Amino acid sequence: MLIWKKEPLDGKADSMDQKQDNSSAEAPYYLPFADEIDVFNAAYEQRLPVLLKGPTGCGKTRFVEHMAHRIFSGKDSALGSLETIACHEDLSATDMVGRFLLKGDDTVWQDGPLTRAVREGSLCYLDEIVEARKDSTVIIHSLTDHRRILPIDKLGIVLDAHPDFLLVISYNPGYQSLLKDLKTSTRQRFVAIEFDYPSLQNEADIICHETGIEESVASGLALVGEKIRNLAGRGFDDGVSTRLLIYAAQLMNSGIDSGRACDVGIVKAASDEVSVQDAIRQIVNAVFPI
Amino acid sequence: MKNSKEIDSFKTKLDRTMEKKFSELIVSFEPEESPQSAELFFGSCVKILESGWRSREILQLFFSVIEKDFTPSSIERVAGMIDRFSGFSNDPLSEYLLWLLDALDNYDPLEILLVEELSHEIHRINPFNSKLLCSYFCALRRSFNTKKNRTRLKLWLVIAKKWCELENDYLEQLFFHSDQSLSSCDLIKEIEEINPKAAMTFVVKAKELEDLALLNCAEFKVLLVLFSAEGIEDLVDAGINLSDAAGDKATLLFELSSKIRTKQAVISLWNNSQRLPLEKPDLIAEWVDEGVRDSSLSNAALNAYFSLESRSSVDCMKRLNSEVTLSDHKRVFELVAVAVSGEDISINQVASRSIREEDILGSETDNKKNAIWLPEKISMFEKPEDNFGFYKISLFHQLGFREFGCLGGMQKVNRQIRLRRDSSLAKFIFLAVESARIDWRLREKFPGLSTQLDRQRAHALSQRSEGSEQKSELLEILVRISLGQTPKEIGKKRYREEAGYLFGYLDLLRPGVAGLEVSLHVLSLCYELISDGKKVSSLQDPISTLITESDFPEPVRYREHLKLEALISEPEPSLLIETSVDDPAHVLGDSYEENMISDSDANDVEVGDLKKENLDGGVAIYLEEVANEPDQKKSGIEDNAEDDFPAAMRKRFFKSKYSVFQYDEWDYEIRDYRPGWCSLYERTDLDMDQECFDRIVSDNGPIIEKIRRELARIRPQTLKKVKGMIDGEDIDIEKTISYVLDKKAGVNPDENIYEQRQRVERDVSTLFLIDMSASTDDLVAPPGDQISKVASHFGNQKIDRKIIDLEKEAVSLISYVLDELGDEYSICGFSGYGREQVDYYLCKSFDDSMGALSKGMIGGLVPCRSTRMGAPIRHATRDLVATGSRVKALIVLSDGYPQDHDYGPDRNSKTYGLMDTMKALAEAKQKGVSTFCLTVDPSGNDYLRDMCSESQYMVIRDISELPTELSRVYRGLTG
Repeated sequence: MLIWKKEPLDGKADSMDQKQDNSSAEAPYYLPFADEIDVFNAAYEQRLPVLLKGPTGCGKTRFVEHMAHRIFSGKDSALGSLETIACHEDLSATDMVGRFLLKGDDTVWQDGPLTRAVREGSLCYLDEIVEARKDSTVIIHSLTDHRRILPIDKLGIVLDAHPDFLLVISYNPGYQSLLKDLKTSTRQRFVAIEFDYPSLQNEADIICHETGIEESVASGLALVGEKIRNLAGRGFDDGVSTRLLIYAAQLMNSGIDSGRACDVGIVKAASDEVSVQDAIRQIVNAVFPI
Repeated sequence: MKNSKEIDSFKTKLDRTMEKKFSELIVSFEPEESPQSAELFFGSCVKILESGWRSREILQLFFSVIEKDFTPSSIERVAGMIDRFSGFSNDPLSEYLLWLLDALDNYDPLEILLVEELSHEIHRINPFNSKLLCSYFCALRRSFNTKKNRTRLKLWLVIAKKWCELENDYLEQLFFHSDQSLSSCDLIKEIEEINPKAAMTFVVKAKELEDLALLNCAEFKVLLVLFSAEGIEDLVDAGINLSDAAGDKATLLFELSSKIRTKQAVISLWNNSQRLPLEKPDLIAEWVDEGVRDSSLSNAALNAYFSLESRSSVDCMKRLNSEVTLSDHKRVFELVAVAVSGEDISINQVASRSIREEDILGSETDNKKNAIWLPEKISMFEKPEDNFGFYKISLFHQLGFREFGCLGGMQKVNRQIRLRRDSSLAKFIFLAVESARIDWRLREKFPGLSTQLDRQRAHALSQRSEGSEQKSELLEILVRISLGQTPKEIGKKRYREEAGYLFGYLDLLRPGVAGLEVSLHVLSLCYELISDGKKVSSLQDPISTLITESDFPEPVRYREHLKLEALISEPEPSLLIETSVDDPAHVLGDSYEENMISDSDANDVEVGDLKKENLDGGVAIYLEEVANEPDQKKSGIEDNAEDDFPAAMRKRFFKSKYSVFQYDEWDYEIRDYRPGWCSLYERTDLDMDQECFDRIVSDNGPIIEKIRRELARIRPQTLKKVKGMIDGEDIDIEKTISYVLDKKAGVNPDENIYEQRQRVERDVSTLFLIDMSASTDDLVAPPGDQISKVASHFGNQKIDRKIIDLEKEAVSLISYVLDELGDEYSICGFSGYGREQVDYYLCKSFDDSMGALSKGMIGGLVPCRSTRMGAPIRHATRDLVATGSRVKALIVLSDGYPQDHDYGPDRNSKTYGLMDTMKALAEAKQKGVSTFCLTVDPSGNDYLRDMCSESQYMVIRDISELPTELSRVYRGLTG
């Protein structure tokens, strides 16, 4: 679902904006699993668009947030930030670029999030790009090669991208159908960084950090996650995400019994198939004493 | 009195002894007092002597009788008997006199009279059956020689007298089994009054019943009387079998059986006693009560209930017994196994291994390394959760062998085991040691298992018996320690010291990081202690003989299903040779082990019975063993494959691929399902006919075109919103705004401002199920005519096609067009013989493309055997549901009504098969599958009308129209 701002009268972003102000002191927590931070930095230096591939909930979005903070926190630009667009099948080029709105008797142009990022020089993150309509993905082509321009037909202008602007897209190759695969012409414009779920220890650390739960419980949740992921393709497409494990830990922190927290946080969220749920429940019960 | 001449003449025919006896007796009769007696005596003597061979022997008997009782009345009576019996055979007379000789001492006169009266009666009714009379007197002599037995003589005679009127068999059996019939006279009389035949059956079987002490069982006797009207032969046989199998516990079932109203149900109950938890009498009683509660149940339903064949019966037993079955949880266990191991693991039922040779040699063997074995059902605990816990612990225990490094190191384990002199002992020790390590590791990694693991271990300990033989006892101690007992708890004074050592060794496994290396080291230590008695002073005389596997302690139940052999890869001879010769220390242990046993002298470490220094010259015996093994295997299979039929068959089965599925079957008579009644084999091992498909396609261009036109009418199903249309159901707001803006700005506006809901996607899966019964081998008649079983001569080339050819043609052509349309479809055939062998041939699954393999298999469909439809329809429904498609269609192509040799109790009745098929179709409908039956059976209307609604079947008169009709049906179902 696209969430983008309506321009307020005073021209400032309201609180619902997806644009993040990265001027806060602390970067969003991200535990690297390899050299992805170095690769991303290098790509940014060269302004090479980045494609993040990986399963649901493995930390792609968090990585982009983290990188946006790292990149922009050292700069003076107050506008330096991250525009996140969650793509869906009804997302059109207009939704991304902008449109005229009727305001009284006037028509007012409203920048879309992509245009805003291009103008202001921030990271634009198109999450699950393959979900978007084909026509909307084509408009990013001119932004992802040497031209770095955004033609806006309705305004009759061609916008040069801000020097700080970078396009980042993500998709999950695991459950996309052939029909929704990324077009080669789009795919080959990006530097691709592949993500996977973190290792057992890393995931435990992440859960610990995100929730403050005790280490043994975090390790248990990470173990549950690791085991359940082996079931991918047998009742549900992806493995259980780190995000779900964190939710379960947060529920435990709020006083919910470990079994129940895993039941609502992991078991029922992971699959609707009863036998798969039962199997996951058995694994959870094997790790967490009832 | 006869004149003396006659007497003298008679005397000359006798030898001296007999003559003397005769003379004494004849004079003993005073002519004045009993002239008639002397006359009768002499007359009888003459008759006996003239009666042929053995006459002198009989005469001697007669003299003996007369000596004992020479009263006139007695002589008159005996003379009468002699007169009656001597006419046709000497045997009855001889037997009579023998009996009488005995009876005169023991019987009351009245009893003698009764016996003689009955003998008259037997003789009267069966005048030429001398054997019967002989049996009669033999039986009397044999069985009624004591006074105690004679208390029942009258009753026995009454029965015998009554049976005189029946066939000879009755009396023959009564006399032949006189001992048993005597002791059960009362019961025989009781049964006889209801059904004499049943009484005779009882008499015949009485000896067996007596041997099994069943005649002391009042409950059993009650049942015999209860069901005697229907005949009791089968009941008695079942009772004997039950008593054999269940021993004392049979009494419980006899007692409960009196509540059951039909004999057949009682027999079913007894025949299935081995499937019942007889150790829980209350439970059985409750289950029986539940079965007889509904008095409206038909006899068939009652029979199915007590055979444990109906769903209600099985469910009730499960509920009462807290039983947990593998089939109910197999999918979950499989998922858990895959999740924990990360491998594609199959869960197999232990019992099924022995059912069919094919299972061992076929598909199961193919994947045995990735198989986990679990028992069919568990009810050893009172609570179902504990029974489930057994499965869970057994599953995790087996998975632990993979999870904690054992599987990866099996080559090393195998080497270590084979290097021991007693490899089976080494294997046993390794399993006990490794199991202990796995349990400890499980406990640490999966703390949630701890409680259940403790419960299972405690139960396993409580079930163990003591080992008797020396090594067995030590092994038993090892097993107990591996289950968590301390030497103190084991409490064996004799082996206290050894137990301490073993406990210490196994304690090395406790640390959470203990790996396979530690287990192998502990194996060395334990083997050394148990096999050779080293280090321990009390084992003064170590046992030199090898202990056989049969002496090993019983396995721990939750650990016993692990197939270590399945995990061990084939030995690598070259590797073993190299390692054995060059680096014996490495074979015995690795770096870890070297550290652990640094205090021991390496020269003392044994490889079997050889020391390290001996290894320099090579370990000939082991090398030879290892080198021979692969050769033996090779010669066993390949060399004989050509001329050894079983070997060739085995090879074929080994290659064959199939999966087995169990399906319920609906029994309309019991109005319940028979759970797991049919075994369906999903196979892909059809003989290929690669050219058939292409030939059909190339020969039928016009029909393909017709089908294509037919299917082209199908419109996409799913509605999708499409914006920017020139017209449509809704106005697209954005386009409209653009339109207004453009217009206001003086630009030519885009008029495509509407939204349409279009059918742009088809979400259809169809399964074509082809009847491959033997009747599809029949030839088809020309268009418009009936099907003919005789070859026709119409000059048309296609005339001699068979029904199966038409079926294949129809599905081939439609599949050709469906590929163009892009719909998902599957093509399967079915046949089989009996409920245990329903064959389901998967020619093309939903995931396959119509490649050479699928085409070849469709071409390879041939007529097989029966038409058991229920299970294939259920299986097809299962596949269709698994596709998750919105429209699911099942099209059954058949040539007749469902039938199989055991499709219902009456082979000639079609009703059972029809009802089951009807139920299967209803189940499919319930699961969202549209079904359609196409039949070429002209009488199809008769039964299809009952099976499904009119819109769901079609009887094709002109069979050549099958392909086009099929496409119409397809369009109707999915379009």
